[in-house]
Amino acid sequence: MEESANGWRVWLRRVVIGRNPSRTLVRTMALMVVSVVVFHFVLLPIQVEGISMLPTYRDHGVHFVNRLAYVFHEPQRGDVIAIRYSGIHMMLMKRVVALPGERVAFHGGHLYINGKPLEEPYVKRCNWEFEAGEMKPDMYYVVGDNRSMPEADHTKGGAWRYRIVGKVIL
Amino acid sequence: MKNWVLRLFLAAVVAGGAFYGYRAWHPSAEQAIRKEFAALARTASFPQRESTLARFSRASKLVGFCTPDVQIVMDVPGHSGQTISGRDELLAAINGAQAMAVGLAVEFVDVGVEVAPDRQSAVVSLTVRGKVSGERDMIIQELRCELKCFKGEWQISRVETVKTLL
Repeated sequence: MEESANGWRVWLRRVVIGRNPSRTLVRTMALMVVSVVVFHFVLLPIQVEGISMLPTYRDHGVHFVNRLAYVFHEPQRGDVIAIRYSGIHMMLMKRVVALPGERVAFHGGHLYINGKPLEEPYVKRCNWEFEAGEMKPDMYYVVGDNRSMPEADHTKGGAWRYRIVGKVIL
Repeated sequence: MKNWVLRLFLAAVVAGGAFYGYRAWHPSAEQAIRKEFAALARTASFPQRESTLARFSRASKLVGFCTPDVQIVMDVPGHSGQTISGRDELLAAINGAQAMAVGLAVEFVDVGVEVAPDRQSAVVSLTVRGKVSGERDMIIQELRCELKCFKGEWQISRVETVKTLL
């Protein structure tokens, strides 16, 4: 009976801390360091709050921001990006629709870039009607995919390049 | 575990404790400002059921965080710009806002503090996250605050909204 209890204890100890505790400790610490580096400097986990990116990204969905996405190239039209407020713990998630120097306008719910309509398969039609003007150098026009909500309630506009944290993936 | 590892670990714990204790007793200007903003967030939050007297008291406490000549410049998309000058105007605005909202939870996120070399003024950039009771959406606004130091106490002299998207 006592032997059986001892056996269980040994088995449990092996499962929890392994055969070599110091090696397990080193592995645990290495895993912690790698996790901190990856999830702080490379893949930033985010949770969506709000409906402005529907139907592409749902409210309360968890995604990742690739912070290295724009190290070697600039944001492209159609990219979904994270834009920081005063830091990276609160960010806006929007889609890039216009690049620096381009003119943006909405007419009859259609998005026009430099006077030409842009095909956007990811959005439902809306009735937005306004001109956002020309983007300054280093500025990208961003807007959410949910254009069915009233234009006044939808956060959109020109985002400075330095505020763009990375590209939303996964 | 080897003896020297244990000694090294204990030495690190003691050194860490001593450093923490020193910082707790002698907070830097940045720490003092962060503490001030944490207290401001706690004071600005109020529960759904609170007496009118408690709300008035809360409003006067909030005004105490600011200099007598405080200036608050608000320019939020979808609303007309507004400037509040002085403690009296601020007190009236807070009382008006408290009367409209049923309850509010305020949190300051990503607080960045820049203290001037003379340690008499500072600039704080932060994001306010506010949740009004019963409302689905949160209020999120980036702010830039200027502070002045009076007799060792930091007070807000100017607040302005920052446009994250232009």
